[in-house]
Amino acid sequence: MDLREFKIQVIPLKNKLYRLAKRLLEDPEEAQDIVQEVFIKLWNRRNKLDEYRSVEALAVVTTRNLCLDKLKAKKYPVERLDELRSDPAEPATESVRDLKDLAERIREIIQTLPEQMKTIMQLRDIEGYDYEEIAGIMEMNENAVRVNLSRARKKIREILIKNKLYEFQRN
Amino acid sequence: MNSREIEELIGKFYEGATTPEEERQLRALFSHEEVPSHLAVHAGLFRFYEDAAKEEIPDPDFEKQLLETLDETPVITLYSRKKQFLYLASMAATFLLLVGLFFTLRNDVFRRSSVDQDNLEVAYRQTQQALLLLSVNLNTGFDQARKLENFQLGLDQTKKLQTFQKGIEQMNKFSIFYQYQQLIINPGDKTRP
Repeated sequence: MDLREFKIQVIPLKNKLYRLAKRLLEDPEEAQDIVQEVFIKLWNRRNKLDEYRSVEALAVVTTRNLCLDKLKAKKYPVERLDELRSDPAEPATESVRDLKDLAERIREIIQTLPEQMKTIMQLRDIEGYDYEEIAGIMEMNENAVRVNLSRARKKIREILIKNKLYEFQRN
Repeated sequence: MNSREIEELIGKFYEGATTPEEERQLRALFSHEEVPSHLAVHAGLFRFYEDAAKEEIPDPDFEKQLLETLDETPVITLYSRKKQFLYLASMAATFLLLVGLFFTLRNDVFRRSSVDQDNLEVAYRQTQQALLLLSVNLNTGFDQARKLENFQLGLDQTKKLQTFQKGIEQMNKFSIFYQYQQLIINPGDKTRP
């Protein structure tokens, strides 16, 4: 694969990969660095990319793995000790003012989900992959993907209803 | 789509039973501002999805910088799966060949030794006879060695003879002395040396 083909087939994935990395790392700069790293890794293997059934799936798997490595590396960061001592922020308890506010609350709820659920929800509900593709990426069977997704969706609904977050305060 | 159909679709959605196409329909439906209040809780989620899918890398120079980096990156040749398979297969073949050779050669050795086992009794007897013969000849040899001892004694005796020889030489000197004495006493006698 030459640079021209790489530009057409691989680089347009940049925003999808960025969104996944940002969902997992919750940091825009780190997410962007990860995407760059993914592209360099894929480019280094450009002679072999044709052997893969889906370069897109390979790119998503690589992104996820790099994010998981990053998360593992900063499991006990020194600079976050202060945050740990103070009470953790209770997400999504205050009433919301508008749709933008509600979106922010939903993002916070998704942050509390396990990584697997986060990734599956990102790939399905935001990027629109089908279960077969997600099962391949996650190395799970399709039913396990469906069950995890269903749990994630219900968890969000449960928290939204419990805190009446859908009832906007109107001024 | 009427309200009941929408509610059914939402129910399926939470069970993970909707298709990507149905989910696109729901997203499109809730992107409109006016949503019945009893569906408001779901509307928020679909709108969140809609907005989240539009998020992009904030750095406008990202692609330009990336392409510059890629241009400088050399190709790193990694073993493809096919090559890895060939490599492993050749290793396995070599191993099997060695194992095969080992057992073939070992069986050959076994077969040879089994022939020997058939003749073992014959061989044993032959060996026994050979040892007996050796033993007899050894005894003869020992007898010969004893004769050698006697010879040694003889040699010792000849040493005494050597001493005797010395005595004779002394006597010869005496005889020469005697001859000169005779010569002095009888100088005219030319028959004597």
